[in-house]
Amino acid sequence: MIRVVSLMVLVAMGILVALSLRPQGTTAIGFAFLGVPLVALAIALQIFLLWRKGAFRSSRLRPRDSRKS
Amino acid sequence: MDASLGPLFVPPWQHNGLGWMQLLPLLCAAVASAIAVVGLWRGRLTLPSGLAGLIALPLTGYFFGGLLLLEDSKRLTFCGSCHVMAPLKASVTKDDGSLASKHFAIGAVPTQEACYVCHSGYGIWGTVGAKMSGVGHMIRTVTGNYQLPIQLVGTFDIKSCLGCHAASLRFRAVEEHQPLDVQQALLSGEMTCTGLCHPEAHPAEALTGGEAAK
Repeated sequence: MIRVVSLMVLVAMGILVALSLRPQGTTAIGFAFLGVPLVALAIALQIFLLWRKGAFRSSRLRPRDSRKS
Repeated sequence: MDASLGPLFVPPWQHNGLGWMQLLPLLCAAVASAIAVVGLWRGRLTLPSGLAGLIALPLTGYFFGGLLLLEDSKRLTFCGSCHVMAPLKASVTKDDGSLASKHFAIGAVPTQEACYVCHSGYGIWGTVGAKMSGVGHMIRTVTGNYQLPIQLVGTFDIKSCLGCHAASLRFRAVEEHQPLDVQQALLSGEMTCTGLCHPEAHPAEALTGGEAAK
């Protein structure tokens, strides 16, 4: 899954680079209608992946720690 | 605007290379892409690199990209980059006798942002309206949902003109501008500056998108 997210970020960054180097109608349309949804989806997926791995859980609430106390 | 004409004809705002507003999204994109390549190659990332490369930097890069777009979409070259607007840009810059080209020719509008200055409306809500219209223009361009010749939606905001002209002594001295009923008619939109008294803002052939009007 991380490969899918990485690929989405790479494509989104390509669109961002195109806009930065040549800000014009076509690159603006790509940025607004392709890049923004793509990067939003990639970020949402990455947050979901990290959440599933427990990255956002406080270490005090983990079972291993609760056994110690 | 051409440096080959001599340094006197190069505006101070014109610079060679990339501005900082272009460099910031590029920097974010470069680092995020490097991390994404590692993620794509290895199939896993450490927590800090996953947070930075696939969340924080893309988000920051797109934020800076959005700022760049907000600022650069004011430029004449940006407006003229879509094929429908290209004849309008050409008309404005070649001094063809239209009101827009007259303003451009004598530098009465900032030449870099000529379209935006007149069409955005006056004040902060003019800017907000222009940005919303810009999104509408992009949607219409993508979907092809527009008709030629292109037309102004609603009436032209005369406050865009008055922002410069209202306090001008030459403007006030013109006899035709002085009757109160004419002033009211102009402000209410019943009467426009162009057509009867002043030349059309843009020539009809520039509104056809480069094609014959359908």
